[in-house]
Amino acid sequence: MNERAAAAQARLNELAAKFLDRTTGDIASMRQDLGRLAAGDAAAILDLRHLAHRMVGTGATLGFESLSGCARRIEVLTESCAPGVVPDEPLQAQLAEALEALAAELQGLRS
Amino acid sequence: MYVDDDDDIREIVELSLGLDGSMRVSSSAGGEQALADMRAQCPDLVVLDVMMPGMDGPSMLKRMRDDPQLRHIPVIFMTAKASPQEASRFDDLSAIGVIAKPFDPMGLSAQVRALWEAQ
Repeated sequence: MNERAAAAQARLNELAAKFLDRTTGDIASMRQDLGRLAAGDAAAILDLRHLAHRMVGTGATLGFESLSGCARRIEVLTESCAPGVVPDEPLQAQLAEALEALAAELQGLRS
Repeated sequence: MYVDDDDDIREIVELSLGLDGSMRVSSSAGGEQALADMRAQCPDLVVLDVMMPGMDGPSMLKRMRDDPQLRHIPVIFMTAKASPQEASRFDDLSAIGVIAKPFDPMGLSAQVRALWEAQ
């Protein structure tokens, strides 16, 4: 590996660590989004989808395929929601389950 | 120039394309600012993320093609939904190629160069 590639790889490693740190905060935001959905705020689904989508792409690019897969599950569930409509309770329960799977995956990566 | 609303992916792409010592890379977060940056910098090539809030990649390419200052600039799309149907749609929009996400950061510059040289 030449010097330029080695420097790029080192920076990618730093970005990977930063991504995991940010994901911790993003999961907290996603939990809040689920709370907003339960309270009837349909717009929360868009915020949830945006965070999940970003996690899917950045996670996979940085080598966190499994975490990316968990986030993709959330993204797919949000895409099944009709625009402007609060998802029904079974779908909210699936979202909560998928979010906890994502949190567990992150926990595994950090331990 | 690389256009994407995701800060992390922008930095990764800049790093990746920087591995090709002959490329000078800039990036923009999208929207009207990206079009203004293109007019100011006159890049040789633009790589556009497809899914961006506000103005998505295809909409931005349409705006570029309607702009006399930008219409000649070759465009490559990057997308997580690189199905054959989507690729055909991007061809119709006159993109010179599509790169699937996730991409290999250490191999991206070679992919971009191959599409650039094949146009």
